[in-house]
Amino acid sequence: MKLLRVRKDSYHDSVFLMLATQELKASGGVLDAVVAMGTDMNRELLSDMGFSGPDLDGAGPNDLVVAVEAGDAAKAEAAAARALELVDRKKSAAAASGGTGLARSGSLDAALGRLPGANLAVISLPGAYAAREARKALDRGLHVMLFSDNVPLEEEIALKRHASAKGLLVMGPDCGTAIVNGQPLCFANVVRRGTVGVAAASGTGLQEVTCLVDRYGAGISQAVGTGGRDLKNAAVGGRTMLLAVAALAADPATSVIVVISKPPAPDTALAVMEALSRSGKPCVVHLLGLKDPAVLGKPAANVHLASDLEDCARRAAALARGEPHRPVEWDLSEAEIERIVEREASGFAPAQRHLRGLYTGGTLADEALFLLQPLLGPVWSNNQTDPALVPPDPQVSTGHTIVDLGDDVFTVGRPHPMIDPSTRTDRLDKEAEDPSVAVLLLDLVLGYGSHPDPAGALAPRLEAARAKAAARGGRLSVVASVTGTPSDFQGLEDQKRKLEAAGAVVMPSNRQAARLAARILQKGAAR
Amino acid sequence: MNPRALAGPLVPREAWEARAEGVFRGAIALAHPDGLWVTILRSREDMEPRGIWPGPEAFDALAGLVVPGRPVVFSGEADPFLAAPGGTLRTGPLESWDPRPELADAVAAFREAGPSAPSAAAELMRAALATDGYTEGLHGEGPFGRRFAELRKEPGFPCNLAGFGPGTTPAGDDFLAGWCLGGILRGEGESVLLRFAGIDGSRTTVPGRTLLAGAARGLFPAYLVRLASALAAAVSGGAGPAREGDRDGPDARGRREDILASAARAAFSHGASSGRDAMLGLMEGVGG
Repeated sequence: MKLLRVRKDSYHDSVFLMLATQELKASGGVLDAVVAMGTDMNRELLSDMGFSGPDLDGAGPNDLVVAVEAGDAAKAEAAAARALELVDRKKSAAAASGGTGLARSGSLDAALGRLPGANLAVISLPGAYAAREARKALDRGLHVMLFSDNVPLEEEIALKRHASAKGLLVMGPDCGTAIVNGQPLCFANVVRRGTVGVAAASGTGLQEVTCLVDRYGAGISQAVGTGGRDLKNAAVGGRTMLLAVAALAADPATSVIVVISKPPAPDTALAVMEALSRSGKPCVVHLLGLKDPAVLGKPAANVHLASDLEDCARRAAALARGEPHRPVEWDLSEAEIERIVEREASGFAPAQRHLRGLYTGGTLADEALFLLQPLLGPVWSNNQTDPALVPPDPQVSTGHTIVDLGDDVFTVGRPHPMIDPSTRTDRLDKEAEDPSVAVLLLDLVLGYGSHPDPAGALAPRLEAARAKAAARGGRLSVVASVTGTPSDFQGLEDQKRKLEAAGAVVMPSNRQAARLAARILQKGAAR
Repeated sequence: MNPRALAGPLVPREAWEARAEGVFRGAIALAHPDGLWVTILRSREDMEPRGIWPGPEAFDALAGLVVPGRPVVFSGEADPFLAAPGGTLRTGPLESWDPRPELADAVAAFREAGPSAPSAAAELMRAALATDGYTEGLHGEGPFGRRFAELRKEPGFPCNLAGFGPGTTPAGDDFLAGWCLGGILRGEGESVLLRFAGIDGSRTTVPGRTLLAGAARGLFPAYLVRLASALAAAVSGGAGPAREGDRDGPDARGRREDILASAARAAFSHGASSGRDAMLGLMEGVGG
């Protein structure tokens, strides 16, 4: 199948055209591809390659031509659309950055010349180049937030050693969120300022906790991301986490310290617990999926272990407000929960037995996985720690499945699903075809960097999925949580309303959403 | 404000208004009413005959003011400023940037190097390209590479390359500019420019036409002139393996090799493949 698309009067950076061509050629099912300007010579070449039609005949030297040969029409369409989307996005990014009166600096030194008082550099470059720029920033006395992933481990260790020696923080690599002096950086939410200081090796974990702290009436002094390997990898040794804890301990505006991470390397865990103990401030620690709390030793009296992200936020908020911690199972009454469960579990067809969690937040997916497994039995996931439960094909669900759609396998050549909802809506369409699916579990992460209307993008596909299940004589239950605050630009209540209008039950936290989903499924199975 | 701004010899000096075609990496492209681009450049190293270099700070400021698709006004060289939708940038006084004296020196050095210079220069270019290992477009075996091999056999080669190949400036145009430069370097500028005069500029894109318009007047981008200079120095001073009769010692030769390697690296990083395509043309043009 040969397909041709023409963009009139469309000039682009040649480097970007080359990248679009490479992307096109790497697309599944694409046999050959050409991205070029519609000059006579290029049109003649394309014509000899078998491309034809009025679009090609009408193209001129100032028009961009995308030609794709693929195994079938759908693959050709998808590849061409993707290539054009890439070049369009680049062009609109350029347009958006123009005319704003904001200066753009082509180098770190030029930027520093404009803003001599800066003390933090945010670096978002391909991993191969990021470390060099991070080192430059450190050498100029700047803390670094390293958004980039794919930074080699040895580079991370070297950077963090270098930074430690200078008393500077390297947040990351792969650090997607931070709140510094009230300023949200990268993916972060607008939360009230307060006295809870957070250090987290977990992006959406940090977002969920900071948003819930805000909801529970406290606020955030600083929120520092460390990057996922900081605690997990013994060689990195929690260097950033230890510096962050020390900084929060010394910060007079911070009264409570929160640490969130996936299970750390044992020696690192001990070092962090020791640092928290030394801080003398009340501390709350949540280590997702920690199987053996003994690795933490006996926590000091000022260090409290939380069972999940919500519990972490509740404990921190209570400490900050000087109130006793009251564990909460549900925000709603038990009777209201039971009524929802009854309603949602009624009408499942006999074949509907499985839960599918489609997550944009990696830590939220992990939390759901760890919460659901004891309740439902084996749960498949690309985030599974048990290799036997990692799906052989991440694109295909089986049994109960939690998918972290922000995983590299889903984001190669595509934006993160928090930015571009299509990764999830495409997967949702697939799950809708599976008659065994009873419950869909979803997260929605608001804030800077995220899609402007994730619920709006999701709602029509949710309605379609529910209609398909109904047409098969069943009912699809959809349970969701929204990570965000009323101050986020997407509008927390508006997003909830859109989900509810599409038939979803919206719970106040990821924990409660996962627990409710399990309960609905169990109720359905018991019938 | 930068103390001075440079303008290439083909930049219209009187006042004009041009549509902003794009804000690219290190360049702001403006479609002048005369049918060619004027390009505002961030790096002096990227200067070209239709380029204005206002200094990096001024470039960064202007990039924040320009809106693609909207006009940019140049006030003229007497009191130069650039007005864009986001605001106005006053540049320093315009000074002329002209690559021709440097190119003339390179041609003289090349001539001095004697009859073996063309083949030695072609070999040096071939070796430099081999270190890069680029295999896309003209350099590969895909659709463009296969057609390039066919076009090479036609009598109109290389002028038949105008407008051919990938890139906003089609790769064939870059090849042609390099080929023209190579011909000038080997002392055959007159006949090469005569052949260039026959190229129909409407066959290519506006940036391609802009490049070819400069080349047809013996005016080339700074990175290509730097490469030609380095090449001429390398062949005239005895770059390559030491031979009896070399005019200076291994240190000087090593320095020239470094300069050539550095110029080649700069060319590799010019555009997506523009530098490589131009080097390929230079290799063929200088080798004759």
